[in-house]
Amino acid sequence: MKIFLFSEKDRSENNFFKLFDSAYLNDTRKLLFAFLVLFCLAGGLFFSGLLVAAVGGSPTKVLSSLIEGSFQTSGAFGRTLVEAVPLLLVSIGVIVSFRAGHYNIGTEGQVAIGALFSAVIALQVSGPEWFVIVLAILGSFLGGAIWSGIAVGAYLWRRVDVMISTLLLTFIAPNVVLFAVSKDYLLLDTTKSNTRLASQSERVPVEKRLPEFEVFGQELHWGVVVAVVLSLLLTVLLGKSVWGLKVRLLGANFVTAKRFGVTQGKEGATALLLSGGFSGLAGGMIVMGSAFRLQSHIANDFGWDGLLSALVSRLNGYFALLSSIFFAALRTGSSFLAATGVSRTITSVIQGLMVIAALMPAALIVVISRSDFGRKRFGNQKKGEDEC
Amino acid sequence: MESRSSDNVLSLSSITKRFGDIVACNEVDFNVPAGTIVGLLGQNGAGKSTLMNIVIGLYQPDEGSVYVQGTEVKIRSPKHAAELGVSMVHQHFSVIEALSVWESVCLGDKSTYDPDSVKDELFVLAEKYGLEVDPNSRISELTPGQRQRVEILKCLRRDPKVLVLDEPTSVLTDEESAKLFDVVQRVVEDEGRAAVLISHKLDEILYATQHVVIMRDGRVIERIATEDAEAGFLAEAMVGRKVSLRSSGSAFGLTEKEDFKLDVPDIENTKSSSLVLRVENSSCVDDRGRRLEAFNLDAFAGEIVGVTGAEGNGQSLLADVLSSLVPLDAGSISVDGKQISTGVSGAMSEAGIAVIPEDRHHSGCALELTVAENLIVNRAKQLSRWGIIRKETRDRFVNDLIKKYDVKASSVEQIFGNLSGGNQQKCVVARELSASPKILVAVQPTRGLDVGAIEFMIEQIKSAADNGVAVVLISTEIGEVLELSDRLIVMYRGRNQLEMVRKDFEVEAIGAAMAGESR
Ligand SMILES: Nc1ncnc2c1ncn2[C@@H]1O[C@H](COP(=O)(O)OP(=O)(O)OP(=O)(O)O)[C@@H](O)[C@H]1O
Ligand SMILES: [Mg+2]
Repeated sequence: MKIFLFSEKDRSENNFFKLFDSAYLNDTRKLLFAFLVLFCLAGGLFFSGLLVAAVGGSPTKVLSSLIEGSFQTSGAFGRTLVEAVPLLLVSIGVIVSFRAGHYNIGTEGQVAIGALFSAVIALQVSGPEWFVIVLAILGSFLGGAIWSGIAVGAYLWRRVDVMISTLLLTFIAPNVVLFAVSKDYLLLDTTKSNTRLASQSERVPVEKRLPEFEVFGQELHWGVVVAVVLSLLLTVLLGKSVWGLKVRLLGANFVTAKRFGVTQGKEGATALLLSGGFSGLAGGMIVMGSAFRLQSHIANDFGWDGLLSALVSRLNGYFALLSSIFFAALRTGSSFLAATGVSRTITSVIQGLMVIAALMPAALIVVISRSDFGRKRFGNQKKGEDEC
Repeated sequence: MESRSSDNVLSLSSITKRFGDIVACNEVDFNVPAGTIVGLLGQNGAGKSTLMNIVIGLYQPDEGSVYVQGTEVKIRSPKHAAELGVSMVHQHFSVIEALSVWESVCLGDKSTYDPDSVKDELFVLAEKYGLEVDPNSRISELTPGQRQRVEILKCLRRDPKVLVLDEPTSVLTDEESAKLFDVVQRVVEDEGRAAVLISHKLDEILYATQHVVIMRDGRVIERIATEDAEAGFLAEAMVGRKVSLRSSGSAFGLTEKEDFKLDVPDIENTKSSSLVLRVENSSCVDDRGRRLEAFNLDAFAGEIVGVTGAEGNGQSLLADVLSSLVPLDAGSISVDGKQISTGVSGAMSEAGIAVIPEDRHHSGCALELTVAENLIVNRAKQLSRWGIIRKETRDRFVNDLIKKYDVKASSVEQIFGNLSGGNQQKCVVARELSASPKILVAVQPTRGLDVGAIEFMIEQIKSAADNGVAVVLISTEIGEVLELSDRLIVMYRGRNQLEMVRKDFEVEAIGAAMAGESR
């Protein structure tokens, strides 16, 4: 990848991820962007339809089942919101770390480790239920933070690139979880129900799950509230607090930051640890709120989808609320589609197509605003943005 | 346009360019006749860079047309501009630090290239114009002067008909500037090209150009043949009021330094005021090969210590050490008698050292943050309650600074990188001075400012000294140093080569010391 050829300073200035920054969008571009989003989503649906038609299904059913499965059928919206919780938490963490100029792309692994921590606590700590629940959730945060902490340590100690170390740690995490759920002295489920001794933990007992509540007929759990409150809080802090200014200064120009006492060791590390912690929290929410048991693939792409959702939101915490619901809807919608008889492989492809469709506008807007037509119409590059 | 004939290599007619509410260029007509150098003057934020960015295809004009050699063209991109024969050396460097010289030079070429032939080409060009630079060295290892050489070589290699230079000498020493103009004049006169020169240094404009165009607030307000112009007139036309001769004199460039007259030596008795900054026996080497060797510097409250020397003799490293960017290998730095650890993030600024850095984009600002955020990074805590920055307090503070320092910004939320170069500099100075520091390290503080703003900045720096700040003025512009300093240190290869108090200032001795001769 070309990015790695640049020095640190160049990297912070010419980074690919800057394209996803909302500062890049001026007013006219915002309109264009909105249009592109609709256009690309329509395109994604169109190709999904073609695909379904090609395997002998009904193409018109794609859109309707996606919508039905994620919003319309009874309880679907609630399921989508519950699914959005881990996505949102991951996204917010990603936003914080990207803003600090550290590209934590190992969220998938941090989700898994967070899930592991919460499962251990929920299954093995005894005490009042509320206490265990709170402890398990806090533990998941700690787990994710520890996993990203390894990358932080390597960076501070030997300047190992965070993008690479977090990514590589992602491949280790599921194996750690697998180890835990396949040893009977750890978490392996040895009850009668698991006769084949599949590698999984016992189920979290009902009273130790996140408490549920109902609004407008939708079943939600308290994780929804926690996630929304935390993400709003972090977004406000990032934009308005002294800490947030420091973090963004670090990401924008770490030399200037150093002069004013903002360091990779303090603010940079905090941002990364927070980011890992939030991913871990997402893992905790999955175990305690929807999966109820630990398996090696517990992260189930939540980490990756959350990362993408953060990019689609252009690193804006408020938009992340929307984009994580979108990604969650895709997940619930395509499960529903699978239930209507479209094969799982096809629904996975459709899900992938829609993700690409959601990511396209960010790339297209650059292409368009650099073109003849776009320059005239959609305004100015920042100085020097595309000098040759 | 009647003035549009084919002997204008480049001709702009009624160009208008808006950014939101700001009209950066307002119906600008601008002609560059073949074989001439046209000077473009104007206050900070007048629209000079914007106009030239239109010519180079970075911006599209909202209205108006561009003609190259008599034919109307729509310049789509810098690449297209280069094909049409227009090349530009930008106000802020646009070379990438991690690349080598030859790579930078052919970056953006459309064809494939062969390293050896590029290097050969560079060698021939460098020979021809006397712009030596090693094609294999990395950009990050070069001094600003050398980087600029690379940019110029890059332009010349494309064989331009029009060469646009946006404040090219602001990073150059006087000799380098003289050499640059030599090259530009040769290129223009002998080879029949043309050039546009943007500069705030009036004597450069008078020296190098044939025509002068003056802009104010986006409009052209004056066009004059250089031979009919003189510095006072230009300054006044530009700023719209009389500017003291003294401050236009500090926009020094090429005038003979021998004529420099000292005003009454107004040395204070430094012994009586307290020692604030002590740099003692300091040595260090950084990865760019810059070095300090047993360097000493004392600065007392209320005095201005000038530090000068030819570019690359350790001054910029000294500034970096005082910005907590580089640790010392030996020696110490103390403020008010207390030793400060070097190279530790924030330590110097904590101890009361404010720095106006040499390269504002490197360590002075964050281009992607807003103007307000850039102005408060050193005092965010004071403006906050419970960790949240209070918006009204912040905006009041920021607006006061903007007003006081006459920063031209569309709002406090404007992205810093979109400010004009001079306005960025004003913001940096404003922020550093507003922190009421004990020590102000000012490296080329007037870089990129217009004559009016220079006058104001110099007043500010002097009054800071009058109020008891110890000022360390690091500059290669010896005129500025001589005018302002109470005491002067000449650096050579990272050492103290010469130290003088104001009443002994002697231009010849200083020049000799800069060249490394000891008395
Ligand atoms: N991309 C942009 N977006 C918004 N405003 C801009 C942008 N570029 C320039 N401006 C505004 O246009 C005005 C003219 O800027 P310009 O850079 O052309 O000034 P200048 O004459 O080159 O000044 P200086 O001498 O300080 O370099 C300024 O007020 C600046 O804030
Ligand atoms: Mg400019």
